[in-house]
Amino acid sequence: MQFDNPRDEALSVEAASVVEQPSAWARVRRNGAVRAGGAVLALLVLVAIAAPWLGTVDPSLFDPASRDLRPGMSGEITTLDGDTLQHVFWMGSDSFGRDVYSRVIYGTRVSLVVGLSTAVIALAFGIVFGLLAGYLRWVDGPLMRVMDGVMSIPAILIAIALVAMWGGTLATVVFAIAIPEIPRVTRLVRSLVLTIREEPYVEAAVSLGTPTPLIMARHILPNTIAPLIVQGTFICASGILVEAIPLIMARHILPNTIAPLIVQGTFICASGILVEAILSFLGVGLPPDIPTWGNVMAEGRAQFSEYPHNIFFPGLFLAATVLAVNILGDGLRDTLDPKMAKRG
Amino acid sequence: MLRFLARRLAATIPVLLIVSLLVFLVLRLTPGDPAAVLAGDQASVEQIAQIRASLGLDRSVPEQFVIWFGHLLRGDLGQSYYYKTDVVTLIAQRLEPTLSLALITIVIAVAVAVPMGVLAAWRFGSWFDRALMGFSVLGFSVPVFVLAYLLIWAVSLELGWLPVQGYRRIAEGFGPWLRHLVLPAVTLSVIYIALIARVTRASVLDTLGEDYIRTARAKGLPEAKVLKRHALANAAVPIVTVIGIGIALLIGGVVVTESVYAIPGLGRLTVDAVLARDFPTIQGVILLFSFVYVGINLLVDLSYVFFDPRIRY
Repeated sequence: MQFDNPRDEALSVEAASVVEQPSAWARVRRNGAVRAGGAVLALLVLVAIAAPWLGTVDPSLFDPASRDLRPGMSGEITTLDGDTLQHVFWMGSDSFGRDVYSRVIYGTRVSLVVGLSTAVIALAFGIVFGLLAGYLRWVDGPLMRVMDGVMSIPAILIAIALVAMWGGTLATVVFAIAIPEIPRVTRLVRSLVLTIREEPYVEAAVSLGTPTPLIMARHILPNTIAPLIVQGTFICASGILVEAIPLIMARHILPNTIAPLIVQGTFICASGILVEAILSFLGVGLPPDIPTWGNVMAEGRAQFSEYPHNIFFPGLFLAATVLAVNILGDGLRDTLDPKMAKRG
Repeated sequence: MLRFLARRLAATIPVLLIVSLLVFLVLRLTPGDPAAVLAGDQASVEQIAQIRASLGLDRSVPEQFVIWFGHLLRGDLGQSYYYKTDVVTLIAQRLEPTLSLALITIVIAVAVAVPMGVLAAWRFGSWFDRALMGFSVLGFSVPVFVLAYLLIWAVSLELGWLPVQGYRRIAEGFGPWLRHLVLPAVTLSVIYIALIARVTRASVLDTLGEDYIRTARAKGLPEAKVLKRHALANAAVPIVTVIGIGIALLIGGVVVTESVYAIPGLGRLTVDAVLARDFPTIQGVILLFSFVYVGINLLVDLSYVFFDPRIRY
């Protein structure tokens, strides 16, 4: 290209240097791990929603005549009205004569709900505590010491003890799993807040005599996590909404602040699903009649050597789900949080 | 060094105090009267009142904490509701299996994960590197008990090489002891290998970009020596750190693994205590595990001096 005067040349250089950077959302969308993990997860969500129409029967129904069937065998199942249905047990039946396939498919609901709620609750509490610790000096010391204390008790022991105390319902199990995750989120949010509080706009607000709660609510919170709350707190929906937030937010503030939270939320979700299964499996989670993968496996323990399918089918679903969420988390980390990705 | 040691030790005291307080509150917030539980079904009101007084349960909660903490300092964790024996005795009986399992697991994990991580970093981007990273994600995702049953099914049931379940004390002979622990330890080590291999790879990858590696290669040092003496030695601190942090993961795994393999250790005791709502035992086990975790991470901090002579306290 030829230029008649230096001004044109300078302009062209300027124009050339403005390379359109793909937005965070575009990078996320193009990432293979996000696509693969997201696809499997979407499929599982569909399975969870469509559970009643996937050839399942009520997962709590049992028929003594259909006990310990091997996968693929057909048998009978009695409905609550006393009708007897012919039913093919794709994954066999357990020692009560319940359909393992139906229990595994319905178990998808429990696992996804637990994973999602654990992540949301851990993030919500972590955000509030992190905000307080990061901005209010007098809260920082005591609160972070408590967090240190919680962090030095192995997570699964906290969960087990809390369920033992509170009894096994969906809400208690979710909280019991979420509580040990809160300190890590708190630390993360606190470190984000510590950098934001030094920003000129916060200083300006302080010098104008703005009350502390207002500063936290108006200046610090929006820049750390408001987008996250707007997003309905979870990754699945995040992408769509990120587009609606002003571009600067999406390109500059977002990747540095909420990205780590989204990534952490994903990993909490994965570990929540795992811990719930472990609790159910050990018999200290949800009541055994509720179809969860852990409960199906716990039921299959006694007869494992003859009927390994009672363990393997739910185990396969569990491993696939956790794997999908972890792969999604890895992909999100690589695209949203390059600093973290470098560390492997 | 001594001053650092003193400071570092002092810093763990508030953490241990908070852990004790949290664990104490777990018991106090539990519905039900511990005195009535301890006394049994046939106890009279007077007997219950007597036990309550002897346990100090008739005093205020802060007073109770001081009493309880005083007992704790003297190594008295109280009486098990279920086994009706001292919690300390109970824990002592269950220590050997858990300790054996944990030690073998750590040995397997470090012996496998560190060389694999170094190799993956050395051949960054190769098929081995990608395979290891894939294995690492898989290792984090496959639940311990699913893996346990898979191994039992393949190795013990189909091939018949190792016992399915159970535990033999080391006093009954080294062979049987080891044979019963191989499978549980391999199961438990997988997630640990995934964690350590990942960090080793990342850490060695960092050091491989350093100038001294180029210098070492330029002076004609054999590649194995470059990797061991220069790359790995300088990458040791994060690796040792993650081994310490991973202890929490290991403790969680012990609880599950011991249940699947029917090993009468502390993990099994924890689950049994929870099922029996035996709160003093739950408290004791949680306290022990947490103190071990804090202690190991203290040792890890101190070991930095050994692994990185540049660090001076």
